[in-house]
Amino acid sequence: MPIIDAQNFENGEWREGFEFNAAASFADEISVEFLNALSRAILTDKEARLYPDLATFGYFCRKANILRAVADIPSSGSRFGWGTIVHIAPGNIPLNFAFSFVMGFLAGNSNIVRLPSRYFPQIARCVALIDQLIANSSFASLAKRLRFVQSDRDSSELDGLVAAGAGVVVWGGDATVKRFRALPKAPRCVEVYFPDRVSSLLVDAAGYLAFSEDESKLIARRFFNDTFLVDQNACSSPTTVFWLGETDKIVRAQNLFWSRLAPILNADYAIDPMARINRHLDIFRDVVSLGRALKLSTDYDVWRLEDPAVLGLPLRFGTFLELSLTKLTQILDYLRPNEQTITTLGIAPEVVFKELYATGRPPGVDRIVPVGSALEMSFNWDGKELLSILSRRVHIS
Amino acid sequence: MKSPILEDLITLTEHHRAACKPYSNYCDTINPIRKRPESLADIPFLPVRAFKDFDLLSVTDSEVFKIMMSSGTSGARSRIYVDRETAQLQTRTLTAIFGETFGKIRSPMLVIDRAATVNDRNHFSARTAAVNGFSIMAHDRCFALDDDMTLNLPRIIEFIEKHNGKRIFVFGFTFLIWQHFCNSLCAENLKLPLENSFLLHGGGWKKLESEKVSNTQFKETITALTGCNDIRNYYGMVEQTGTIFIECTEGLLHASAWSDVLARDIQTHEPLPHGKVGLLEVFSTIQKSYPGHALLTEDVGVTRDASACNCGHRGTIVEVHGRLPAAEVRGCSDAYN
Repeated sequence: MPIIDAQNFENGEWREGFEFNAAASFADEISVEFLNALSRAILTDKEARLYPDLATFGYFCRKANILRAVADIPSSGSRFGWGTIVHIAPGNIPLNFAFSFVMGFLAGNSNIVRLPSRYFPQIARCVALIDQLIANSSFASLAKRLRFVQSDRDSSELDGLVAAGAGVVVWGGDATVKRFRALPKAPRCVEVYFPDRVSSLLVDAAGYLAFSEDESKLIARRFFNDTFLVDQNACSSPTTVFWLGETDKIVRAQNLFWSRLAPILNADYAIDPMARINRHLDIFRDVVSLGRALKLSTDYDVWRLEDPAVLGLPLRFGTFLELSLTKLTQILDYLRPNEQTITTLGIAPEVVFKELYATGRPPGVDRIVPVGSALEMSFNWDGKELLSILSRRVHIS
Repeated sequence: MKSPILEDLITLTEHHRAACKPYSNYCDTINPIRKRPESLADIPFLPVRAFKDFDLLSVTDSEVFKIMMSSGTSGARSRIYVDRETAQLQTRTLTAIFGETFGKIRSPMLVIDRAATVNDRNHFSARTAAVNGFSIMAHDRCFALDDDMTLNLPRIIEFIEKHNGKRIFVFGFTFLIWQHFCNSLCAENLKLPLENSFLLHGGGWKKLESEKVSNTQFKETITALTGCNDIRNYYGMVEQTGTIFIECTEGLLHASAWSDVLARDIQTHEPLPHGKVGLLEVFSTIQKSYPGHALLTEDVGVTRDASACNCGHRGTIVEVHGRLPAAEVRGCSDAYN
């Protein structure tokens, strides 16, 4: 079924053939086969190749990845979906809706997914490929478990679905989370929220300097993908860069790191003109908040601050706070209350985890991943095991 | 060529650095190396939206004579703190620029707006400021529109007859004149006897961007409907009240003796030579009570040297093409839309 636009969403005809609050077994065979077929359809589709994010989603859906995630969940044989999950996808990460859908679908639910209002060609292609598969008779029975819709903001029709559904999955913005938390819901409604988070990059200066020239160029591209590819506006995009090591090594590492990024920015990135103005206004807000001037470096058109007082303030549009550490555990003094991801460079995520979480005061960070993987979606997100939360486990004794 | 107002702008920058702490902290952060500006581009600029987000004064609270605000139809409003000296300078420069174009005789004023725009104290907007500002050039005032924005023809006719033989000053916002004056006259197939009048309009097309017509078509329509053939556009903003850019006899907008303009590259903010499209930065020498003398607008256009125009005016020419579209940044914040 094609995307139901805001107007057709309101008239409700889309409900025909949709089994509201129907549930299936957790990761039943047809669902796994469907996702695997979708993976193949995406990865062999010519148009889909134009969109790296759609290809990434295609890989995510392949059988091996799905079965690994299912195996991670205890008692998968005695789990079932809750009913209908209403997904509120973020407005400007195009493929996020698809990941959210897979979580709800694989867990055994029927799914109403609210898509961004803005047009993204990769969303249109993804939904078209899903529709083609559903039209295939072996998957026809799945049509009753999914609808992709658009709606106006504050649509009462949408709010009505939230009130009647078995669950909601709301992808942030704190304001969006606040709005949907406040809506009336069924007493047993399962609610999953992803509010605003912030993230950091941790660089071990000596470890970074040990990379070859080719490797350091590749690293710059990975950092670019984590950050500038989404205008530094994703929750997982680093805004703070921690440099670990001796001062002279840190200075050398910083110079190398930012100079390697420069040609990529020159070739592949243009900050939105309004965002460029906003960057000035952010600095104005910073100096008003702190009541003093700040030291700002603007080399390579990357804006870098070094005063930890800006930690709670928004850092965006290519603005970073750089802090030096002589010991890894010093990072604990700087991590923000809503810190989500630490991407690491020149130091392994496991090493960082072991040192930071063995201190007796584990940080609130939910992800530690290598540079380049900041935006990589997983079944465990923001500390939440989604397949587990979105399914009910029957207790048998 | 060095801008004739550069020295005044340097003095103003120093004045505001000394008197407005947030401004000086901002300048020290953005332009840490202080050297004497050699051109307009070296003067630190402030995005015009700063006045929406922050209260910026270079005078004490007790010296504030009035607070001017921009329209608040879409989001926050600018708050401009004006002391007596700046208020006087605003009036003086506006009177001078107006007189240079239309002569110094005060005319009866037909305002293409409703009286509520100036009477409703709860809705101070750029329109309030503009109507009141230009009223100083007039002696009798008639509002052409009723509160529901419909044209009150009997009132207009009565006003024109009352001032029979006198030159009438017609004033309004561009989009209001088009929507509520031209369209109404056209719809009713009416013509007004305003041959002996001059018309000043500004403010652009706002929400009617899609209905925008060329300046030539705008003028032709008004001339056809009213007989008026001295129609001038102006470019100005509440943040730089007084020093407007006014359309000359050749149809070009010129800076006044108290203002100048520069285009900056939309992507890099580097200053551009005349003729290249960029973000417009406007300069004005009369802002004593707030740091509004060098403002980066969100308007896109080009500048040209005064010599490009045959009218003889010495002020830099500006052509305004439109507004920068709202940011469409990626990322997951601000998700539900």
